[in-house]
This record gives sequence, C-alpha cells and structure tokens, in this order.
Amino acid sequence: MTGFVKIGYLRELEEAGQFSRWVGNHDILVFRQDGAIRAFSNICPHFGGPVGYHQMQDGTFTCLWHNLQFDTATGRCRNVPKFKLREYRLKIIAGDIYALLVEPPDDLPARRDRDLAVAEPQQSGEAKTAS
Amino acid sequence: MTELRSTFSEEVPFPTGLMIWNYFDHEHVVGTHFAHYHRIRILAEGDNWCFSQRSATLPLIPIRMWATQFSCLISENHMRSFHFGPFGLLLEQDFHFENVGQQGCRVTVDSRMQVPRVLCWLQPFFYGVMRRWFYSVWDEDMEMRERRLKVWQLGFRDFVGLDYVNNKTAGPDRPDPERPYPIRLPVPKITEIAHGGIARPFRTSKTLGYGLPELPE
Repeated sequence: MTGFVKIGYLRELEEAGQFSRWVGNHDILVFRQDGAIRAFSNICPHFGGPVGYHQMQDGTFTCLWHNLQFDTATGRCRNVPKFKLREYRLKIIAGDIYALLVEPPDDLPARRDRDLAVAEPQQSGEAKTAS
Repeated sequence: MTELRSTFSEEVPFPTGLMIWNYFDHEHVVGTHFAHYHRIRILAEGDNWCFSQRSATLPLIPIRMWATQFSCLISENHMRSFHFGPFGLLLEQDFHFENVGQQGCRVTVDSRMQVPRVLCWLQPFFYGVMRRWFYSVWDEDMEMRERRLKVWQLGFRDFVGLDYVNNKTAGPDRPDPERPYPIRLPVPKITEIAHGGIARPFRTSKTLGYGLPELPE
C-alpha cells in the first residue's frame, strides 16, 4: 500500500478517545490527546503485544502482554527507553482518517527519526507535522 | 492420602515452539492475565527451568493467594510444573505438547493434588476450579498466541519489532506461514522485570480489546 490509506473514522474516537486496527500489515493505534489526533504503531517492540489494549491513562499507554508503558507524547517506552513506537503521518478528510504507511523514499532520511503527524480534529488536508 | 485430579486437552493451530514460548514467558501472567494475577517475581531461572513467586485470585475462591512455582521443560514436548501453595498444598502439573501437522499442536494438561483421604469429596470442586481456571486463562492466551503468530510471520524480531514499520518502508504483502518458530529458552527478560518482579501497574482499567475489525477493501 502506498500513499495515504484510510484507517478509520473520527467517530470511532468518540467513545474512548482511541482505537486500533490492522490496515494491511500495519497495526495502528489512533488517539486523541489535547485536541490533536495522532497515530502510533500498536505493536510493542518487546514481543509484539497490543499497546492500545487498555485505554490510555495519565499520558501513558500500557501494553497488555507485559505492562510496558509508553509516553503518549513521544511514543518512548518508560521502562525500556530504547523502545519507541513509530508515529504515522495522518490526513483527516471529511471525517475519515488516513495514514501514510510507507514514507516516500526521498522523505525517509529527513523523517525517519522525527515525530510527526499532529492533526486537529475535523481538519481537512494533510496533518500538521511537528518540527 | 488421596489424589484430586483433572485433565484438559485442546488443539491449537499454532506451532509447538510458540506454545512453549507462551508457557515459559512467565511475566505475561500479570499482563495478559491481569484479571487473575497480581504479581510475579522470577526468583531463579535456567535454560529450561524457572522458579517464580506469584499471587493470583483463583476462580470460586475469592481471596488472593501466594504460591511459588517451579517449571521445567523436560523435553520439547513435555513441561512439568509444581505449585507450592498455602497449608502445604502442592499442585503438580504435566503439560504435553503434541505436534499436529505442520503448524498445529495439541496441549494436554494433567493436574494432581494429594490431600488427606477425608477430603476426597473435594474432587468435584477441584475439577471445577481447574476447569474454570484452564479455560479462562486459555481464552486470554489464544488471542495472544494468534497475534504473536501473525507478527512473527510478518518478520517480527524480539526487542526490535517489524523492520518495515520502524523504517517506514514497504513491508511484505502477506505473512510468511513458512517462517520456522524455534524453541528458544529461556525467554529473554527485561532487566527490571527479571530482578524486581512486576505487578499490575494500575488498579482499574478500561479495556478496548485487540482492535476494531479491519475496514472493507
């Protein structure tokens, strides 16, 4: 899958402020925090557990399998700092949420280690990116 | 003395290596099985054995109980566990893993407990507790095993993740069902967990499950 791919709907965030879903071979955790909508990989780098199984609490996701905790601001693991969840770039168009699963090769060197994709709810067009 | 006994057997579409990983990944009990287990601490461990202390609430017995457990993989198809509980009770268990076809496994769990003969009437209660315990934990493990196999067949590397996700590059079109799943013990530990033990990090939790259904094509 190339380009932005639909991964869900804004309305799916209403109940818990987050949801996860497999899209192609990516498991993506979408969440709303401080009015922004962001998406991390839902796959814990430890053994592959679901990071978004529990509802986030106090800015933290807790992986179901071994309770590894991840900072929702950075995606960094609080227990094992070398673990960091990938963040996906998002677009929100007419209530639909799209994620960029594969970065264009030209963008990769500049984007590989950056946190990206902060989008305002109801916003159309490509998500704002953090610098 | 008399012996209380129960035997349960189930077949799963997962390789034996994955099943043994599941049974020897002792720390997952306070994660995946957070509704039952409260704390676990690995006291000592070797290549094919583990001695741990854990607390849990058993079905039909609504109190928290501490036990120490010794588990040993006697062969690639046989694990034996001893649970040392309160009042000198000892629960002995044998887990047999039988390969079924290329990617399947049959797990048979035989549990035994010696008690004074006067307590033989406890057999139905023992069977009921063990049955409820086996299937509630089993169902939670099934979701874990299914997901573990999926990410494994996508190329997952322990303590790294999926390279194509991390590198933001194109990944495989589909999982590779032929990727071997070897038995590797002991299951690698995270330092903090191995030395200090772990407990549930929250008192209550709203659970959202393993994810929403995939979108239609």
